Amino acid sequence: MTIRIELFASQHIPAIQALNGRLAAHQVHSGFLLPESMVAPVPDRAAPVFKDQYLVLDGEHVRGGFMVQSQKFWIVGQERTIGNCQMPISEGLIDKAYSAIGILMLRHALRVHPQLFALGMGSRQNPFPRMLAAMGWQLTDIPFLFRVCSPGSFLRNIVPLRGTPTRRVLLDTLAATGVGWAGLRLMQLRVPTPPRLAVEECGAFGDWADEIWDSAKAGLSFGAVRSSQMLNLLYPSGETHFLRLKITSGPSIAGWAVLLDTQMNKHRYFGDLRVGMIVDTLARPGQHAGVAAAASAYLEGRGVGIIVTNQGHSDWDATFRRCGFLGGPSNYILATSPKLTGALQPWPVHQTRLHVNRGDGEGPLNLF
Amino acid sequence: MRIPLFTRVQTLAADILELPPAQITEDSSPHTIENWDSVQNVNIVLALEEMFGVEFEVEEIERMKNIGAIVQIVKTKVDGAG
Repeated sequence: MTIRIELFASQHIPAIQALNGRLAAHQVHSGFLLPESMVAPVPDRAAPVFKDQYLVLDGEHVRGGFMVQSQKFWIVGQERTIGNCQMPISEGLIDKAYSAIGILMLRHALRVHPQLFALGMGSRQNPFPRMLAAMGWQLTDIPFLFRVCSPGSFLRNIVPLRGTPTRRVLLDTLAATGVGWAGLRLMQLRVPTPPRLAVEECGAFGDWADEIWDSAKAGLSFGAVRSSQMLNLLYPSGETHFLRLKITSGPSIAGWAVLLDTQMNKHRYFGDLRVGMIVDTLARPGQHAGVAAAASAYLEGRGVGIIVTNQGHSDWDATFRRCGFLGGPSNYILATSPKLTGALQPWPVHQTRLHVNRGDGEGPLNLF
Repeated sequence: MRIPLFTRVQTLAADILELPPAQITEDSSPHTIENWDSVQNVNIVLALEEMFGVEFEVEEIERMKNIGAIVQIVKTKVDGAG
């Protein structure tokens, strides 16, 4: 039977369910199953961001699938539409007879968008990033930053640190005695606090966001266009879990931030912590520190136990660290296709100016 | 002396899969070689394309079920290009 790649159609839903059944029978995590319905409406190809959902078909069987999000990006001074390959799933995960599916999907996606990227992926040791590296893609870790607001709660919940009974007893003792609180405070000592800016929650992004974008884009080598139109598509006002902040300095807009405040429940990393996330942010030149501090203080004021963010741009990375954030191991990887990497030459110059965060790619999937 | 096509493919696959060439036969496939996974599949396809100066179509990659099939596909491709 010949393999073919086609756009999602509802007639294939039973075959998708059958594939998911085969994957689940081999203990494949539910996060690595194919969506059993259209994840996005029929694409509006005039929109600045839209998604195409592909299936890998073998006769009537579905052997895999992936999505390509087409989105306007700012790349070294030019606006271009590029692709983001999302959620590639292959039956090759469980049956070596289909080990070629991965390269077939990637080649197809590259035909749609030679300038293509992938984001997230968990670990460089996973099959997908290894495959991308083999195909000559550039892999870049997007720094992970965190700030503990409630040390006791953090020490009692953080799963990766509580792997053994001894560690659990030790961390519970640190939490109960306050020694942990003192230690974390010491590690998160801040430099002088930037001027406190005014924060206002907004339902949608207006013209003011376009002004921020126009003033900020010259400082970026690579980043999704963050115009008001794009932002209202990425963070629609109907999605109430997003907190959209307009941050002002006197009479002028300094920047904005999109946040999440999520009570976790037996999360694999955060246990039962209340987690704040700075999903996305942008500021006028010179206003980074005030915007980062304002977003962080807003989440802390709501009572989160920890604030996390991923920031690819060295300015934002440095800014959050100055605001008391610590760096941790990142599982958030940006992979750029050879053609896209080629547009970002010289790489050593541009790799520090990648404005990539949790608002990109598939968005902050597991955090609301 | 011209090296037979099978030997060239065998050597390439052995190099990627980190096996002695003698262990690579026409019947060798992802099912018979433990570390021939999807990533090694990519490595084999890309190395073949580089070695023979060709680019494989989707259906050709899909038909590469074992070394014997790969040799046949490469032969057809190279002959067609010549």
